[in-house]
Amino acid sequence: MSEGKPNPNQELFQKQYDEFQETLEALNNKIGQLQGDIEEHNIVLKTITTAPKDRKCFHMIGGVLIEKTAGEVEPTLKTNVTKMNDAVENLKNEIQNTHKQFEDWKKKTGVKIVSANE
Amino acid sequence: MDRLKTEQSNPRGIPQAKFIDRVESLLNPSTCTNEDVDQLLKECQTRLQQYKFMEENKRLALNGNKSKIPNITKTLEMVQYLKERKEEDDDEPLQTNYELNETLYSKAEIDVQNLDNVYLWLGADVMMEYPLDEAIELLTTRLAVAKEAVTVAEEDLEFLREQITTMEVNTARVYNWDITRRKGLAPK
Repeated sequence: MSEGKPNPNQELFQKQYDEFQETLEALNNKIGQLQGDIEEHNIVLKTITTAPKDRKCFHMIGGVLIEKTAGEVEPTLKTNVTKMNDAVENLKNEIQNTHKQFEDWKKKTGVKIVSANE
Repeated sequence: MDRLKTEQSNPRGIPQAKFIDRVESLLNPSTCTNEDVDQLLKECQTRLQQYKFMEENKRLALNGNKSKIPNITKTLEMVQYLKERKEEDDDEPLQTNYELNETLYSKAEIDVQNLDNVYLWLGADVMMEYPLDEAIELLTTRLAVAKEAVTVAEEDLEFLREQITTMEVNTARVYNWDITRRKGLAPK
């Protein structure tokens, strides 16, 4: 991927490039996963709020199924959503930082990406 | 960024990419500098990457929704079957096998006559009690929602693919235009 004649740094550049790509992909995957979870939580919350507050409702916590009521589970789910939203924000910042580092690295090393396709 | 966008967007607000019909409409061949061309190419790249990023996210969402459908269908069929059995005036309890562990099943009887409630996994590690009719209603709506989501996601993916192609063609057109332009400059 690096430009020019055989370069002693070529291998190093390739490795660094791969690392950047891997980090970005991992972060993106994590965000997608969390957003899916958030959506799931929101759907469940919508369902749970329409049910009577004393409806029997189980919550699995760390592999243990606990009997509760719909009214009790609701606040727990709400906190979870808030926490996950924060996590997504953090990950988005991290992606931006990595992008910046990647651009700086490209400038510093003079590496040009010849093909953007895999 | 705005010069690569049209006023149009798809129903979910994804902006449409503008097809660069004539590069001259964006860059004046007699006055533009190499930096101007590079700038435009860079804008094309950024836009292309944004579309690709969206495409990836949509694809994940689509797969998630697609995998839900068979699950909901199966659960719905089961609840409907239980309800049918209950309505039949049959005192025989329902014989069934249930999974004790992977590959290990045990026999169980369901007293369908006295069965009023089922427990449904709602997701997010939550399982709630439902009377049979409410369960059927919930599952039917869930199924419809999931199917709708799949249709929407497929539409979006199709739209995004078109935009990606447009941007790829745009990049190639600007690039080739620049080569011709530079050739024209060379003899001077």
